[in-house]
Amino acid sequence: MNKYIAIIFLSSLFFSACQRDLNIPLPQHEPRLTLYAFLQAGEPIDLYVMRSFGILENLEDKDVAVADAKVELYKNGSLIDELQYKDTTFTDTLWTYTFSPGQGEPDTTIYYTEVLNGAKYFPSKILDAPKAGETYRFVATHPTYGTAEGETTIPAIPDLSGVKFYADSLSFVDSYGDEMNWSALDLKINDPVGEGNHYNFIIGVDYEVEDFQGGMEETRDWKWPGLEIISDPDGYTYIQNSPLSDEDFDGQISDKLWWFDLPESFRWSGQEPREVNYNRLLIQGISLSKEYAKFQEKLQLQTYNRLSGIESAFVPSEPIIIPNNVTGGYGVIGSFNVAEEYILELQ
Amino acid sequence: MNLLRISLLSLVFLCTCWIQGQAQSYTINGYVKDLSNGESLINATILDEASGKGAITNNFGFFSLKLPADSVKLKLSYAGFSPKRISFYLSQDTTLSVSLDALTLNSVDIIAEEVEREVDNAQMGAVVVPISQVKLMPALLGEVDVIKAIQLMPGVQSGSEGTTGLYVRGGGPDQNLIMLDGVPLYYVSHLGGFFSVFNADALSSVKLYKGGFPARYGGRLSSILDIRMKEGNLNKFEGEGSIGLISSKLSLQGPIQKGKSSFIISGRRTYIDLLTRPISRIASQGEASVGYYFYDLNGKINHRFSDKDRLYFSFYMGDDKFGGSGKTEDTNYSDEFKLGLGWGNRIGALRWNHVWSKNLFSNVTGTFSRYQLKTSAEGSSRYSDGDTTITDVFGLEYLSRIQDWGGRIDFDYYPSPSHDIKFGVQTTYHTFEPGTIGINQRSNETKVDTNLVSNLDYTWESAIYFEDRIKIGQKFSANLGVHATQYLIDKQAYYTVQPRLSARFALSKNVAFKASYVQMNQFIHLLTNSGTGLPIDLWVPATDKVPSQFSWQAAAGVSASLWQDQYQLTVEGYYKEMTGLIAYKEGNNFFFGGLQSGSWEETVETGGRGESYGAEVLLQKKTGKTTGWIGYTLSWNWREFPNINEGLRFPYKYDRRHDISIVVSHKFNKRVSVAGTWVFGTGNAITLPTGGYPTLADPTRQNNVRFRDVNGETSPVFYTPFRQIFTDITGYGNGAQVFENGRNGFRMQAYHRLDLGVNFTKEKKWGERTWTIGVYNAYSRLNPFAYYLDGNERYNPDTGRFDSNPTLKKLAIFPIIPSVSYQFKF
Repeated sequence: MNKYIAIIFLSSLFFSACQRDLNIPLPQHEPRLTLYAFLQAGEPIDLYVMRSFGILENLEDKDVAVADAKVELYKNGSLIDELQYKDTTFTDTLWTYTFSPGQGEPDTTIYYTEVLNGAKYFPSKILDAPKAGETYRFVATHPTYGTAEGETTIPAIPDLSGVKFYADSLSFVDSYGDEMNWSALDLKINDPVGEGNHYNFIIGVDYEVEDFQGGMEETRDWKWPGLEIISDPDGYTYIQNSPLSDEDFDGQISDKLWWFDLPESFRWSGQEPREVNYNRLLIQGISLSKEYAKFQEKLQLQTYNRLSGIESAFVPSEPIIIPNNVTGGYGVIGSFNVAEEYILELQ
Repeated sequence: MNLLRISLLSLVFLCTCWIQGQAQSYTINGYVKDLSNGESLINATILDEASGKGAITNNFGFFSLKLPADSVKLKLSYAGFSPKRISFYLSQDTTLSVSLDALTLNSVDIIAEEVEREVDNAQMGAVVVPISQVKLMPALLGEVDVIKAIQLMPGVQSGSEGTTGLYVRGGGPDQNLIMLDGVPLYYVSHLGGFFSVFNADALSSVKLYKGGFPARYGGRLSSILDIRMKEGNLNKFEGEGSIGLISSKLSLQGPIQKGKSSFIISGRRTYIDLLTRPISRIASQGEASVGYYFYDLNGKINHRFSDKDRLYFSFYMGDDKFGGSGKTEDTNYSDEFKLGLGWGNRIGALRWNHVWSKNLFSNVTGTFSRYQLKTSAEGSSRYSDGDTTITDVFGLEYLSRIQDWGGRIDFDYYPSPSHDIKFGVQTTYHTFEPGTIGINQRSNETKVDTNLVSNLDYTWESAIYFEDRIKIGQKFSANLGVHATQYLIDKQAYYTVQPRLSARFALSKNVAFKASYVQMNQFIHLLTNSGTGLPIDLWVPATDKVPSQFSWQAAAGVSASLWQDQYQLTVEGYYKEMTGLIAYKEGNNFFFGGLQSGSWEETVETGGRGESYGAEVLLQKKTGKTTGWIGYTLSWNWREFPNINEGLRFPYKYDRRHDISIVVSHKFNKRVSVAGTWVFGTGNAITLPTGGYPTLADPTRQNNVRFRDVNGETSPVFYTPFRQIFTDITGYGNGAQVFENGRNGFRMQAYHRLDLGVNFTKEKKWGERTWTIGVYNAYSRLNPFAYYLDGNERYNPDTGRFDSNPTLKKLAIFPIIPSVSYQFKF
């Protein structure tokens, strides 16, 4: 009896330590057209046409580009053009990654080229650039992937005249014991009633920096408020990833304060100390169509929260279903409008 | 509150009218006990065979029966015990203390065994889980578990493979009020959910309510699990225990003062750490050590001051402890770390039973319950080059806790054989601490000491209840009641009135029709999406932003007693609607969003609605050498949230269309018994992407993209590189996934499993021993625990590119697992 019990005991240890991964099939996905258009007021129109693919499909990038679709463009309900495919592989494929050189190190900029086969469609003739309030509709048809269509209305340009700057308006001691003086931007904008727009802001600084020949070079850096919003004087920092929604502005009133440390916010960490003269501060306000903002917000959430491999089996997050405004397909037809204002002379 | 007052007054008035209609009569009261150990028998039946009137004992073995002055022929019976008959002429109020003798295996052949006939009971949706049967059933790694046995009942589903989660009639795991000796337990799992905290050796009864909830219970939507501990043998000292593959148990009980007071103490501890610590030390060449164990300790003492007063104190404490440490050292550098993860419950209850009069019994209880999860990490490093020494110390601690102080007074009033009235008040003070993070860091240059505290919430939850079990003639009986609550948070009060009704109409001696309607409210939520029994679910209170949960449930069915009471059949259909449900917002879980935002309220979707309906069949055989049951559930479970799944209704994660369980045990003789269980369930509903599509980077969020530089020039629009997109769909980067079937629109493979066990028992000079040999998953079915996408990305040297060959994989964690354990009794 004792012998059998010993065998059973050892077998138990062996089997209970075992796990097996088994490949199993997944239902077939029927590919459909995927449309992308990000129309900007005052800029030329273009549209990307691709197709969706099965989750287990092993394919090359060229397989998803759809170059033989028929694409119609409507403006305010009237057909104005049939867009044409144009190979932009070369012009859209140059990538540059710059790694900041360490002190005393040579410039280690790395150039990386990837050949892309996006299918980009352009107007067949010169069209007026989109204006606020105009509605553009794309209808794409393909013999295999069917018809997909979507539309967007160009949002009004944000009125930045109410944006106010308060220099050194917040003083506190940070967790390292350093005294900090932060400036604030009151993001009050004229949000048109009736439009469900979303907003993004970017702040820029024009400055002169000592170049490698010893001269001064004029340049501009951009900083996103979303990257560093201080919500309370205790120094608690949180990250606002998604655009601010229309509801945040409640018509024309905003209580959104963007705090930042000036000019430290514009100094690259690890950068060799060089002479810098700050000239002026400017802000860009971007109004985005609601469907476009929602699409990007959910896409970003899906990306950030996606776990891969076996760990996703143990710590799953709730799945994110991305809304889109393309009927019969996927993607988004969105638009945006950009305003830019100088808000402060620094010298 | 007016509605509450009117309801209560109506019920009291109704009862008073009935009571006044009674003729000159006397009361027989007392306790029914187990002869062998003096423990109270719960739900024992006391029947006057002359008049056909009867009563049942309450949770403390007390009964009271009012009968007309006449000859009475009392039959006292309890399942598994020899019935006892007492005849006398009732001419005055009489107190009885009756002890029943447990049936031995041989006596089963001689006399007809008494069973609790479901057909006689007005209660719907309740199942009693026999502990003796549970102990015979085969179990994972030989660890007998009452929660796993409950999962085999119709209407109750388990979560993932092997785990102890309970999903009752479409409800979530937070919607079960699990009470040990009347004290709520918030987390009942060990070892990632594979074992429950309940040590079967310390338990005397387990009763689950799935519907038709009596008014004395409240606070959860979907089930009440009332587990009672043994009281301790009043007559003699005895012990029992077991030695298993992963744990050992020992229970001791006996009289402190014979016949008056007794104690029981029961402990269990695993010894996984005794294996893993030396193995990890050897594997890391002495640099690291990793261990895990859990333990449970139950205890109870009781003292009988007189026939009218009895005092009980019971407690439970249990913890899971995972710990790891490591140390690296050389001439001028040393590095040390410690990791800890622990979670556990502490509960305690002090109760006083008092018999106020021949027909009024009270129970006063004070309770304490605390569940906490604590994680800590500590590290230190020291570097010295002779001239300077750099030290760096880092510490992080995370604490999540819920704590209750509670009190309740319950009265049992027996005005006549036609009425069994229960009423009482109860209150609980909750403290919620969803998450506190402490960070400290010290080095030569910096010193940081920070506490990030999420909102602490304090709430009062109070209730009064009234219920009356009414018998009208021999055919009709009902349990009518109302449960009214007051919930206080942030000086804001919320009131609810919840009617409860359960009724029975006997179609014949052996067949009865039953129906029930109940409303339930729940002022507590569980933030969960793990589904794997990991202790990372957060308990949070209902607030003004996140309202309480509400449900109503209607059920109807038939009970039948077949083949001379050998088989009990119940068939029930039900419909349940739940509102006020919450869920993590899309993309959130404990790690993403749950803590970073500072307020849990920002991470949840509210206004959820759930709908559940189906039918359950249970055929039980409780007597004889062969016992067991067959359960079948046909059900549909849905959820609907305004901001999830584009507002469309979707199947609940544990929506299981078909669920079958067959449990059989057979005693060949005193020495050998066998048991087997077979379960089948439709695969769990999960969300899987079936497709993907490439996405482009957002031009409005890229620095320098389409924005003019100082020279007025613009940069081109960035692409997300396509190679990255293709790997995206298995988990990386920026591509979009397509969920064509929406949330939970995909089914895992069906689950089925056979477990077998055999018990060899032998009398010894010192007592009795039993060898149990079991096989979990006898035909080694590789049931799915989880599905996941694997990118399988490989670098292709010919093309210089990464080829992706994504596959959907199934993780199966328990193939065939044999086990052996040794049990002893003395």
